Amino acid sequence: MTTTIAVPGHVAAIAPLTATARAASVTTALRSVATTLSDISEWMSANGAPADWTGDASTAADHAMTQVAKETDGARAAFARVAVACDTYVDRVVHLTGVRDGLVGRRDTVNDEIDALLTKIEESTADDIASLQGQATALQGKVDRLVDHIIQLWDDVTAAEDVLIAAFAAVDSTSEGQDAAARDTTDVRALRAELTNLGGDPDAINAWWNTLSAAEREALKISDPDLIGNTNGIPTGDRDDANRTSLERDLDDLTAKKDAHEGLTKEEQRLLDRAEAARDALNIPATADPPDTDTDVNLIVYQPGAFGGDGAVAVGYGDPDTADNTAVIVPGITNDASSIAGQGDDAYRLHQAAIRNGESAATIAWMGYDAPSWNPENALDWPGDGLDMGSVINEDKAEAGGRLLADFVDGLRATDTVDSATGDQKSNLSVIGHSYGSTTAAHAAHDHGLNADSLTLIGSPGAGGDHVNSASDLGLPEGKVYAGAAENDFVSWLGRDGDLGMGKDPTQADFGAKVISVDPGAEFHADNLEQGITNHTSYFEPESQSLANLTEIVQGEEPDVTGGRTQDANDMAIDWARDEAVHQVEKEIDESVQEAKDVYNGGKDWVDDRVDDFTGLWP
Amino acid sequence: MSLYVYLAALAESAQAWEDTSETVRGARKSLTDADAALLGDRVAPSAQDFIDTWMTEIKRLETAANDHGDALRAASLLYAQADGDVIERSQQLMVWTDRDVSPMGEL
Repeated sequence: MTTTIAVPGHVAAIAPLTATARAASVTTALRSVATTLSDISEWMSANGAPADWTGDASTAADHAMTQVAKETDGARAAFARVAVACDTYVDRVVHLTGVRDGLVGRRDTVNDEIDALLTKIEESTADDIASLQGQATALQGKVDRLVDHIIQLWDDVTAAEDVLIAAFAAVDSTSEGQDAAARDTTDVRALRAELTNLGGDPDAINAWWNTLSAAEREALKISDPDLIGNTNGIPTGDRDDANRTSLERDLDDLTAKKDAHEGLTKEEQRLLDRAEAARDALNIPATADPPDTDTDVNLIVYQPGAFGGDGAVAVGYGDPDTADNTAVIVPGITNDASSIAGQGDDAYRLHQAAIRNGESAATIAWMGYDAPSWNPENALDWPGDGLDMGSVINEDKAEAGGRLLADFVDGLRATDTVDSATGDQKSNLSVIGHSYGSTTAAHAAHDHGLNADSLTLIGSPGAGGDHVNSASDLGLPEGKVYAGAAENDFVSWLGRDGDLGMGKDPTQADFGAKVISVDPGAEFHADNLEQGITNHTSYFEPESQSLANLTEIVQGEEPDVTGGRTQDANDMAIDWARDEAVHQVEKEIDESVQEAKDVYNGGKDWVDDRVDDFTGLWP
Repeated sequence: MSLYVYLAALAESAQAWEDTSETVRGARKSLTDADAALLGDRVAPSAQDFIDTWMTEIKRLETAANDHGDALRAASLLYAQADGDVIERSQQLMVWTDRDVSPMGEL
């Protein structure tokens, strides 16, 4: 006698969605067009017939600027309408892609279980029939539920698509655009005034923003992307939307001009350089090997014309509003917005390390202040002019930057998700200052009460002025000031006591910071200054002790610490200069005695100059 | 002389139209770069219809703005030529000492 056990068939493969998160680029393009049209409409309105014109209507109607104001407003309304719909759609696509990934996993599991049951049946005896039938029935139930969920997935996909299709169809003619403009009652000027009246208070701004409708937020992002994208207290995702709109506008305006073989002015070329650097920083995960399409990248600051054209840009890898751990990295000398991609590399590397523990992280390359534009390659110019640090030792830019950094961090706190269980802010927030950026961060902490959970100063030329004598003066939670410096990082030899300079070396044992272990860096000579620069710029290198320790700090863990320096930082510089003169002389002796004498004399002069530089720099 | 301010205003408006044309060109590039296919198979045709419609309108606005600028520049040249001729003829007819008098405060 034969017994039939009804084993369900394999669940069919689940096709991928035909839209992906990359569709966000369409939203950005639509919003960017809307912004341009909004700008034109506003300008044309201001220069067209006034709204209260009481003269001949045909005179106003025939006036070209008045006419174009109306036409561009209709187009603006159409693009605004579809930009909102597209934004919502992409969010839905991202969500449903996650749902689909989950269903694919369930399908793999259930198909494996079906195969296993079939194997069991082949090897079974009559005694097993009842049990096998029970297993088959249970499996059928599992398959049915899975199929129901797959059907639901495609229903949801279709519904999301239908909404967007309807939005496009609703405004795909100029007359429909005019109708949309006529129905649009959003008073952007009033909203702008409300925002301005909040006086830059990030908590108040965040609360106000959350009271706005989606349409009002979208209208502001379109009319004032530069304002919305760079206001602390606006949620990160919205800042990103607005700043990407501005970025796309700049890139498209300027590349279109280049494509038309119209020369760019010097200012336009600088603007384009910074816009392209921001775009490159945003693309770092997508161009990684292998490509990373999971990391949420946010353009949190975009002001390419700020600071006399040096520009301000901040790019975040991960979303600081929802991340378990957030880090703000403050770069130093030689950096401006044109170098944001290099800073982004460091931040992204830290991000990848920080998420390995299974927690979420956001790491932000923050070029939001005006760092000195000094080239360290000239630092130990041999046998040229020698150390020329006069432009760096001025702390003015660190002080000004400190305020901006503190404000930026306040903005992150305002938009951070609150843990519903504890009522606390969710993200552990670390600030990491490198080089002159450490001086800037120290000023933010001392002068403005940096609202961070920890502060780390690496490769520091000084911990911020003459009022910071120890880690406790920085106002961070007890034990949450860290410092680190490569032994052969010459910038870290600049910190010193006293009223002048950029403040104390934070890695000194008596400063009171927890000094993290850092690879020493190779010894370097004046005629191989690249190594010295490398020592100063390698704190985020893969497999380095410093990156491992910075990762621990970002994760809220304790890093490996050392006892800190006991030799004065400036003495380290002077020792190097003395040794270097001997090295240079010995090197030349091998070539020619006469040359050696000349070089010795030159070397003597040079070392005297170096000693003067270090000892006389701060009288 | 009498058309000096007027010509400057013409040039200013011409520049405004030219700037507008250039700005619209940037928007046109943004729209050209928008890839409707990324929105998925079902949505793409509707999105493309929308893009095509507004691309036509945006091109029209760009061309119109450019034409307005050109028209003002051309008018400016005509007026300048006419003004120059009128001034020269008037000066030939005027009292010698009044030939270069400023019109300021005379209105």
